[in-house]
Amino acid sequence: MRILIVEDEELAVKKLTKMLYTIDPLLIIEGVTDSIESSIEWLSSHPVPDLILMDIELSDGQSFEILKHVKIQCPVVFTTSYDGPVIKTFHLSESDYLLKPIQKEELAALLAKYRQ
Amino acid sequence: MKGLMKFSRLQIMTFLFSMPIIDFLVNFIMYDNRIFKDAEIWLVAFPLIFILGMFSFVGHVVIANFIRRKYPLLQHTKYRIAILAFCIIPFMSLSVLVIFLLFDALHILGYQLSAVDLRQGFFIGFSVNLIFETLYEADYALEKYKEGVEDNKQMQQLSVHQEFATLKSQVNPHFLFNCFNTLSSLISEDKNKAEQFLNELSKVYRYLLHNNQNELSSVENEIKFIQSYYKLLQTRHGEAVSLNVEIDKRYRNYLLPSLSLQLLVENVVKHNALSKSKPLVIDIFTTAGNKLVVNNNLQRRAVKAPSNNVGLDNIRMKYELIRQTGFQVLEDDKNFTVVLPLIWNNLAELKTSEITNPF
Repeated sequence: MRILIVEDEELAVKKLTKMLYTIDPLLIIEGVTDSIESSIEWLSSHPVPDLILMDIELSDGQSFEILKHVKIQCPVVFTTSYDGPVIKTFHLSESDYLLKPIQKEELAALLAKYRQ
Repeated sequence: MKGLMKFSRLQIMTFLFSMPIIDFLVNFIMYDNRIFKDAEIWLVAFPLIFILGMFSFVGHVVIANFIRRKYPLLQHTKYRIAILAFCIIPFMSLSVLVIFLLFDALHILGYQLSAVDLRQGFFIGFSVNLIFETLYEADYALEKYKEGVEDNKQMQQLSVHQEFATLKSQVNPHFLFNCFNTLSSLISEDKNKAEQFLNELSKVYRYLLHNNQNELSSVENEIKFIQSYYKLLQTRHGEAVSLNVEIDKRYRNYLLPSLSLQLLVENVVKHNALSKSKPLVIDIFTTAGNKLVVNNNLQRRAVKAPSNNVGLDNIRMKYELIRQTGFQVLEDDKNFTVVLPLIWNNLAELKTSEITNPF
């Protein structure tokens, strides 16, 4: 399973990477991007991954901007540390989201769901 | 020089009420008992003096308004009265002199000047000054006092309002949860750093909660606080953000509105893009003329962050309420700069003990 991580906080990336490898040592982290700009660039120059884990609040704006610029053909799981008003929209849509700090069980369940 | 011709209700009322009496007295001095027999006095001299008196009244008010503009505060009352007396008494004497000399020179209704008349005229002028200027000054002082009370009330309201806004935005759940998340990563990555981070986090929140109640804080406390806050930002954003502080030691005890620096730094991070390759650089420094400057390089986000402008407005309003001029927001292509005037703290000893210092 090939994964793209969109996350602007280095520490969070480290932790998430570790967690992903403990859940499934065989998955591949294809890339890590930390801003809207670099994510758009990455997505338009790389093959589509199997899953994107995407932080909502990036240092140059909200990651929804990425979706406006590139058509993404794979599932996206949003991550956020604060379940403020934005989260409500997720209940209306089909998208999944994870609350940070991410719980290993929840992440594992989501990976299992998308592996099929 | 606009606004000098402003008359209070009291001034107009007292003029309309007292001028006929003054007019009568001056005519009595000049023409003695003739005024009871000679209708011409009432038709010529009386209106003429009334008009001259009106000019004199306008002159008085302009002088008084000018002095008030220079020394507007309640604390200035002594200076104001001294300068007022110094300017107004000669002006009144001059008015009296002009009236008598004019009547003498034109022989109006056969008037001839005498030293006794002039002395009596001066006496009336002085009495009028004494009575009415005292009255106006008392009225002005009372008005100022009321204004002060009103301002105080508004200040309290604002601080309650701000307390609420701060609790809502600064004890910002988003920020807090982000910090929790960082802390969670740190615990698994670097336990020592996690502990430091938690220390700074609790300092920041303690300061936020305590200082919501104080209107002003010392530069020293605000700087210590912003450095703690910066450590939190730095742990989260790494090299993407940097803060340089250069404060002249003599400004340490000067005051500024509480939490101003945090509001400004938070705004900078909120409205600008930051990354390792394009780090956000925030400079906080003092300059001559009691100013503290917060400057950052502009790296506007492509999509504007939602903003309710609470931060800048709040600081501006606080400066307005304490009647301190000099708050400025400057912006060009490359920089965003906010200038905060520092307030001399003449109660340094007292205040520092009053202001809760969690550090």
